[in-house]
Amino acid sequence: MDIQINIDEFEGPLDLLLQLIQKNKIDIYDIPIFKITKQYNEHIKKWQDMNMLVASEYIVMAARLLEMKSAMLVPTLQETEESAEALREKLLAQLLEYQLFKKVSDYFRPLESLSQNVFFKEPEDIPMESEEDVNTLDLKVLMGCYQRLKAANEEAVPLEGQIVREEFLVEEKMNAIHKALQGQHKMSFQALLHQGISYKEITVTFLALLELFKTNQITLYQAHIFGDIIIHKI
Amino acid sequence: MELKAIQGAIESILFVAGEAVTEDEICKTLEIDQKMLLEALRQLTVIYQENSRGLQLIQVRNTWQLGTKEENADYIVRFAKQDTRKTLSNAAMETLAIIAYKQPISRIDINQIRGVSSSSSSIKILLRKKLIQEAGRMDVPGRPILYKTTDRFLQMVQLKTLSELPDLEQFKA
Repeated sequence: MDIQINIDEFEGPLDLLLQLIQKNKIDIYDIPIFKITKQYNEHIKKWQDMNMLVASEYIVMAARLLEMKSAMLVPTLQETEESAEALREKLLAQLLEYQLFKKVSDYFRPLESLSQNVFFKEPEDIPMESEEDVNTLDLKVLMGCYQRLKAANEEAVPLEGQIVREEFLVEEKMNAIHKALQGQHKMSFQALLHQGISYKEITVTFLALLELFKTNQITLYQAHIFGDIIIHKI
Repeated sequence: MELKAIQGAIESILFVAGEAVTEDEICKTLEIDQKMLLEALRQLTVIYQENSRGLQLIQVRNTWQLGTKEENADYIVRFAKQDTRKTLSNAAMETLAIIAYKQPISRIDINQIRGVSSSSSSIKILLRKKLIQEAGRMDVPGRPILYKTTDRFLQMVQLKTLSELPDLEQFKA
């Protein structure tokens, strides 16, 4: 059995065509369609005979070649059909562009192996003094934090009473932020949030903030992660 | 700060950084100006060119990084006792070539040029190797993801900037 043909050898139908052109020493600008179509189909046939799964793109190209061949044999009558010349032009353009990038990748290849001879070291993990030490975290501080959160939560969610759907509009909140910024250059995001504010309102306020930022009306500054956001008027 | 001391400080910074550091960052850290920094880097580069040194300074755009010298690669591999250098497949290399010259480009346009129905696996490999990255989305229906090359790609092809890529015309034989 002749197994010198390996489908993985080709990176696609264009690659197969280019290699056929090269093997036959054909001028790419003057491809003998009949000959190439025959050879192309022989390859596909060989793969199929070997029970190899031929990717659909190879079949599509086979169909294109056949279309071209038939267009050359039978003059096109309908205007919707492309002439053999147009089909050939299209394929040529595609082949040329693909060939170009194949050459670029040939140019990259030695650079790749060269660059693989340079090794870099991983970033150093330098412990920072400012990083809070978990061991020294005061239990009292932690408790205080919890208490505050709990209290805030209790205020925000009444245990009984009627639940009214709140409606907040980003535009409204944008106006509110504008108003709040009147007469001052900067303010904190915290200051925009009133006691017992719902998550939904916080979210909408935050969205308004992002919108203002996006449209270049304010700048935002945060000293550290989870810290308060400072809003600056532009 | 004396020039020699600056060079030493830069070397220390680049050593611990373990990644490309911008000129700006070094200037701010050492409280020196750009001109001084470039002079120090220029002299450091010369020092590293000595055979007795095993490191080299690699510049990509306005970033600098310390790496080992190419000629020592075999010793390093022998030291590590295994060769982890895997080269890109032809498909991935073609895809990279197309992205390099056509960026930002969508997956579909890459397939079109390669004449295949899918380049997903190549794109995945290139993303994993950090040779390409996403570059937003195209403003057409389906909003396809666009791809562009990274600084690591520049490092691979040994260019300081994208504009140094050889003219595409050069490859037309």
